[in-house]
Amino acid sequence: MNEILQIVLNSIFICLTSTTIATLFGVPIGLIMGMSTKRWIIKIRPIISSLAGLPPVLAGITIFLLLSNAGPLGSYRLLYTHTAIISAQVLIVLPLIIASVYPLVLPIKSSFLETCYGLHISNVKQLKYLVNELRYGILAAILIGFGRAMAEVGAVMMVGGNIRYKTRVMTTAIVLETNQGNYKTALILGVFLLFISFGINFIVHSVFKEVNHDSL
Amino acid sequence: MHAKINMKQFIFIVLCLVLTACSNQSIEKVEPINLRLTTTTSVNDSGLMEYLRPFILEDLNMNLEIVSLGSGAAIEAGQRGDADVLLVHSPSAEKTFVEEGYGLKRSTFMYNFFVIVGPEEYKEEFKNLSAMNAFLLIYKNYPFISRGDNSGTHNKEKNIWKSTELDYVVVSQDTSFYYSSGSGMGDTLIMASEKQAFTLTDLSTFLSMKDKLDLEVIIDSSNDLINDYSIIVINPDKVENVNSEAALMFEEWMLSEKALNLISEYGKEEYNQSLFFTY
Repeated sequence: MNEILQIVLNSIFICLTSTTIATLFGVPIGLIMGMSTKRWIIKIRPIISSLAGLPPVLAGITIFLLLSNAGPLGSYRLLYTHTAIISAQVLIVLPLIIASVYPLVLPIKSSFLETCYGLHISNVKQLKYLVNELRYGILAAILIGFGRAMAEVGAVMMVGGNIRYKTRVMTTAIVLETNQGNYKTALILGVFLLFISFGINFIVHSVFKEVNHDSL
Repeated sequence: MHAKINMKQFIFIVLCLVLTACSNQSIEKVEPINLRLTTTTSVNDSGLMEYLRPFILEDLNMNLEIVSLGSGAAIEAGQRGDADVLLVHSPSAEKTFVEEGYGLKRSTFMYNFFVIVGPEEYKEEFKNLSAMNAFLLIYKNYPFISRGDNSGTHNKEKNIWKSTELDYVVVSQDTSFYYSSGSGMGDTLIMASEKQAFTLTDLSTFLSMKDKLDLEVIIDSSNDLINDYSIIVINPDKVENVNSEAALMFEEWMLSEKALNLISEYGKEEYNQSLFFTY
């Protein structure tokens, strides 16, 4: 039981870290991409969207080759560590968040820009107002990102190595139990995973409701 | 109009040709029997079964459907009726399996050696050690990667730790040197190479990956590294829907002189050494 708890906490820690990093970069980038009228930015939108569908194993192998002994960052000895898993997850989640955030801006763009010009609002403040305006959509994007991070198996297995007490997370533990024929334990872990997802979604949604005094 | 009739005739002739061609084929050949063989990853990765497959098809008119799993999962698959016959290497788990009535028959028919692999620089230090003494030297001194998946290889490793009279549970929880990868042999070898650590592996998997790994064989052919493989025919009285007739035919063939000769020849061409030895 103790070990399962450790695996659960490990998963939550890793996924929260990677989602936070991806959010800190992804949300501003997404908003700027949505607001921008520069042609090259509009042109790279489809690239970002298709990266959101990036096969996770591709992210995994990229990080693996970067961090492996023979790779450019090999001397830092980061393969099979939390850092490796978090990097791979950021690579998977970041484009997903950007691609979910920028379309939110498009429908309100012209009216929002008009108001801003009228009131002489600075660029930084514009971002702040935009976040407030689009908070539900952004929250949904972050939760999708978090869910994606929690659900990832292949890339995490590749760069984390599923090392017991170190880099074993819920999904890789499920694969291991299944490979050993312990279907019951695998299923229990799966149900755990589902409930954690439920829990986090409920907490975030209820916090939002309170802050905004929603009637729902 | 004229052309249309010609087209119809043409299609008719083609159809006739296709149908006769099909029926001819099915008359010539009796459909081969399918046998569901679940084997360990080490046997499958070595390519042994693919090498034997055409001989089995010819002699028994039998088509092998091979699923490769760790020994633990292979035995579980046997209990669930997902396999007709098992080819595994986990003696203690096999014995329990047969004692519980799931196995009709268990024949140990071939073996090879596990080897301890590690960074080349330690070759001198470990020279002429038995596996047990090598494990004692590794303990707390050098990083060691374990399969950690209850596979045959993992069970062998546990037995060697037990022979050192160290408590395996304590050893396996000592994260200062012991890494439990919970992965297959290939992934574990890659990890050992990346971390420049020691690990226990079957020779065939190691040889098939050697050029991608920065590892050398440190200990081989020590008597405590022998690796027995057995065939287990699933008991049809205990497990439903298994084809035990075909399984028994397969078992008999695998124990025949012809098969044993083929097995001991395997690997000589590619690696200049046999990968499996027969009893």
